[in-house]
Amino acid sequence: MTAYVIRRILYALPIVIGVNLITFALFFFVNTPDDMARAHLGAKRVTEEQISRWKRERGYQFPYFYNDGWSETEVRQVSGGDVSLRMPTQRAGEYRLRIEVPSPDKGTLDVEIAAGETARLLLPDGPGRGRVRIDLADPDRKAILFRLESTEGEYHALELSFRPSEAAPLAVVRLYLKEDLSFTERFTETIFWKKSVRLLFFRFGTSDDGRNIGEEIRKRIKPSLAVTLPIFLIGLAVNITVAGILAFYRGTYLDFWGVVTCVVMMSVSILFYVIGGQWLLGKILRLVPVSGYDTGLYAAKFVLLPVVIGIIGGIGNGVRWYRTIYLEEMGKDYVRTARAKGLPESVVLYKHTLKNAMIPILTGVVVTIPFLFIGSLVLESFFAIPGMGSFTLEAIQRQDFAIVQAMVFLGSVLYIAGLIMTDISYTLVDPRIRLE
Amino acid sequence: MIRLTLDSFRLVLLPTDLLLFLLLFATIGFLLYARRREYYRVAWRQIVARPLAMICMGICLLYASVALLDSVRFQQRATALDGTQQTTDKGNAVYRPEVLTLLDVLCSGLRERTETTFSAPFASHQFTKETMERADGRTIRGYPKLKYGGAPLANAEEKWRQVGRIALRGLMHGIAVGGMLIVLAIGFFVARRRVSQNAKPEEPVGSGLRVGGFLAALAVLAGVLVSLSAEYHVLGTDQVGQDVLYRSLKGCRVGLVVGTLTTLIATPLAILFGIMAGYFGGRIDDIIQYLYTTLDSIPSILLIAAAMLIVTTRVEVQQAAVASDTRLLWLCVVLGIGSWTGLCRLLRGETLKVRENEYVEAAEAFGVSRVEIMFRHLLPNVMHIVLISIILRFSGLVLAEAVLAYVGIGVDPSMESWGNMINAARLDISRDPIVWWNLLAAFVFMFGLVLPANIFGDAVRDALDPRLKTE
Repeated sequence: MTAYVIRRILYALPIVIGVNLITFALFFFVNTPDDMARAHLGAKRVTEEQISRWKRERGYQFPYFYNDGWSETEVRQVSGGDVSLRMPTQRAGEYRLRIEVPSPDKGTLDVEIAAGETARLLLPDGPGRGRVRIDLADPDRKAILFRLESTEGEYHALELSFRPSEAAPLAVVRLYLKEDLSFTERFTETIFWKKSVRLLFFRFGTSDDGRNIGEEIRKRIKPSLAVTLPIFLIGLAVNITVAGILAFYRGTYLDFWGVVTCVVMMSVSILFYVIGGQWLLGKILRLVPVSGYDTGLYAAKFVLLPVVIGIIGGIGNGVRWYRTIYLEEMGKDYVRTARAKGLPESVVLYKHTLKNAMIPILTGVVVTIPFLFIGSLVLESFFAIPGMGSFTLEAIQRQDFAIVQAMVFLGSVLYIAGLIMTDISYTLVDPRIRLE
Repeated sequence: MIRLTLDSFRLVLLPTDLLLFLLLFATIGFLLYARRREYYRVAWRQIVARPLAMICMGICLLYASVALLDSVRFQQRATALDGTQQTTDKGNAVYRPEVLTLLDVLCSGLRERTETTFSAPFASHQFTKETMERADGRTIRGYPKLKYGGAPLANAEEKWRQVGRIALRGLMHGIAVGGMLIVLAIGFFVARRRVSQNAKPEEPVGSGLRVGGFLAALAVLAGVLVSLSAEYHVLGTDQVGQDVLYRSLKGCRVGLVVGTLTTLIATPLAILFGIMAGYFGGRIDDIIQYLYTTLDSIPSILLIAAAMLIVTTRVEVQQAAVASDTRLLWLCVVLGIGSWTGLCRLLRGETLKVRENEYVEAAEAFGVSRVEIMFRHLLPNVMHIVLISIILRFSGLVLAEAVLAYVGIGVDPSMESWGNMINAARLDISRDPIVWWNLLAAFVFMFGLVLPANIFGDAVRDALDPRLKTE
């Protein structure tokens, strides 16, 4: 069995990696870090400087897969006629200067580069004040390369001035510094490694607003379980019992109206149960607080209403499903034999049939167990329970991609864990099944 | 967006409208195809034998026709003050910026009679107090009279008597129309009996009475509703004074689009991949299984959240109607990815069974190409699974729309949908006294679609697949 579990986990690896790639593609290719920054900072009137700062603060400034060592140190957005920029704290090293103009423009741009007193500027053309003329009509113009050598101190000032020949274009100036990276660093200093591969080792990193996601998850699992675990256990017991009763009285009016009730309950939105329950039990009858949460045993009174609503919301579907399973089993030969032996119908139902119905029941049930940790998005947010569901929901509403990505990944890992648990659970109820 | 210019107005076709009409034609096409197949005819006879299922189908069709009416949209030609039609300097026609649908035109009374703010159902006075100036110049705080609701009312005590009178009048109109409908329906069935060669066992007068009776019941209901809503706000008004009945009717479209287009988008992929995996087996099977297991393992609500976040950040500055429509379409696509995997898995399993049949072997022996075998021999024999899954998924999707709107990843907040109504009404119910009609209207309209869809879906499943039978 251990060997089987290990093999299943190995089988699951490609799936986990696949999920990782999908989320990476979704979060960074379809929606680039620039888009994220724009969404956060407001789509209009956002400057390239702000975007660059936003990305650097959250660690999105790296390239996707391979870091060739050129890292962005300064981004400036310039407009107007003659402009001079001062960049006070630059290190010594090799630099690359790129000037982006919205569309291939006419005219030329004179760029003058000068170093402060503490450093010497080396241009490919020669020493001293560097003056470069750029043809704006050339769509694939080359970047300007130069070198800054230290004469004293660590940080140096760099001065750039631009003189466009005609009407001034709006341009973005990007300054890159060449960094020495080791072979492994070239792959680890990337978005893919820092934001996606790390998830594989359950290191969730920090959210876009600087919180530690892993810690946040540990803190929030307990309130989530306080709601989902009772819903799961009590709901399962209620559903199986009620379905058993309906199957016991199959064909009678009780069964008919029971199924009708189930269909009606299925057709009501969960939001109706939530709002109705809050209004009736919380506001009118004042039995339980409308929403909120408390630590320790005090949580019970806050958890009661969401649990009741969670169970009621699941009854319609659940009872119908278990009833089907019961009825399927009841047509089989061993049931007829048990009846022929003179066993009472209740023993046949809850001992013989239920035991044999365990396989389909487990197939549907065990896989949901890991999701109890994820919590319920709707219930938690309506009842202000500080669990995983409300955490995810807040992240969605604040557009915090780091958290949503972590949750997507966590959710899929839990699903796979659920599948493996399902297989193992089969061996517990059916001695004929052996995992090898 | 497609624009079709006619003389005094021009048709506007948004992407979801286009898909909705495509779906309508596809459905009609399928019905024409199924009419000639014994398998589907037997199933249809089984469904017809269940009156409850037929009533539910009727109700679903009613919702569908409201949604379709709400999908035919057009802009009217702008007219100048002197009544002539405006043109630009170059002689091109100028159209009004507002895009109306046929439903808007049919309910123009409901749409235009807006109050200033909340009013309860059948109210003649506003729900909230306001400072008013009386005729003698003094100002008092009180409930101002509504502009339209209960307008012809002289004194408040008369209200319910008048409501009863109007309802009775509507009832009479409804009964008159309904009676005609019954006669027409009987006439139709008798005529069909005469025309068609293969005589059906059922009695034409009886089925005419049943269909006509259903239509007559609808006509009576519509009669009462129409005549009442001419004088009152039957379901009250919302915060900005819009009629809640009108908003609920407008919500039908989004519910139906989400319920149907989602499966329309997902189904072709699921069919192709499911049958391919089942028929070819081997490496292709492995790849497809890997694909759907991976997609399946992402919790659907999170996948939807992630995808919708991305749409939100990427929707460019467009016309508001187009932007919200794009968002709706995206929602359908994303929801479709979630429902894709389940159907694909079912189809793979069924194809594995079907491909062992002798007729597939025979076709292979005759050298029929594999593509042809897939679509001519395998697809028709797994089609019932596709149908069942489409119909059973519908109600869940309609309910999901509301939850997603609440979570903030549903359709655009400016779009009329039941989810948005519920979402907006959340704050209303915490007012004192409680404003309940908004919320209840959305829930009742949603329930009114989902319950019949569930019952009809069960009937279709029982008829098409006896093995899955639950009752």
